[in-house]
Amino acid sequence: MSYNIKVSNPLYDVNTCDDKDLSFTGEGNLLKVKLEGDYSITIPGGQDEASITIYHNLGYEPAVLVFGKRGYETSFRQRLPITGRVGFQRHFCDIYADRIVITAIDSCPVTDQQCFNRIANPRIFTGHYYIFIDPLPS
Amino acid sequence: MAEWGIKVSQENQNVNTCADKDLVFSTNWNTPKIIERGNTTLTVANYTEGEVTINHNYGWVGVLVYIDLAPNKYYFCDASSYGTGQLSYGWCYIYENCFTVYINNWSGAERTYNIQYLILREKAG
Repeated sequence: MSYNIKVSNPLYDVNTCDDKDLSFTGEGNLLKVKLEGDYSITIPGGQDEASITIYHNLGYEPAVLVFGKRGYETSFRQRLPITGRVGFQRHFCDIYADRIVITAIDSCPVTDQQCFNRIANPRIFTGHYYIFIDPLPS
Repeated sequence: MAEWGIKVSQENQNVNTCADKDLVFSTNWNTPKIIERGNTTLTVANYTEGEVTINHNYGWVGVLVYIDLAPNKYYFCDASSYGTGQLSYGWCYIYENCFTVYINNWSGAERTYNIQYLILREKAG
């Protein structure tokens, strides 16, 4: 005998509505959060790049969702990976079977002295990450 | 205090013994939730940039944004869509109680873009 559980969105009949009008069904998987948290990455003055590592120890590469800043001075956030067209500011996440590594890059074109003066100081990139229990499709 | 909770396993998995990854749902683990879904349009003249801001009062929450940069063809634009191979591209900035979608139209003619979005309950920072 098979079992199921369904919960419909408000005003929908759970017995007759489309799957898209369900808020939950046992027939469709949901992303489950294993770990989440705020992070902060500091690129030391004069350097282009820094990373942080967050261990999950799941034994497989999990689905991940990260929101962070493109530039240390900006007030807005974006979903990673983030890059500008020129590519001197990048913020991305590498996913491994035991950890994720979130990297921020803030570099300069070789001829841009104003930029080099700017990156002589430390830059802090912040964000929020979600590591899901659910594996990436193999 | 008594233990309580709900677990639902995936098909052909024993809910009492299966790994967490084989569950559909468990009250032990948070799941991303959609607070609001919506759509809007943005008309952008050729070779110009347009923007539209969607306001909400949910604080710093994540959003997922999709734009039909090509007719009937949607792309993720909550970060940026550079590199999708389309002449036009879009990107999104998330703020505390709103998000702004930008589109740069290089399609060769004025276009009205359809923007679909999901606002998540989950934090973005």
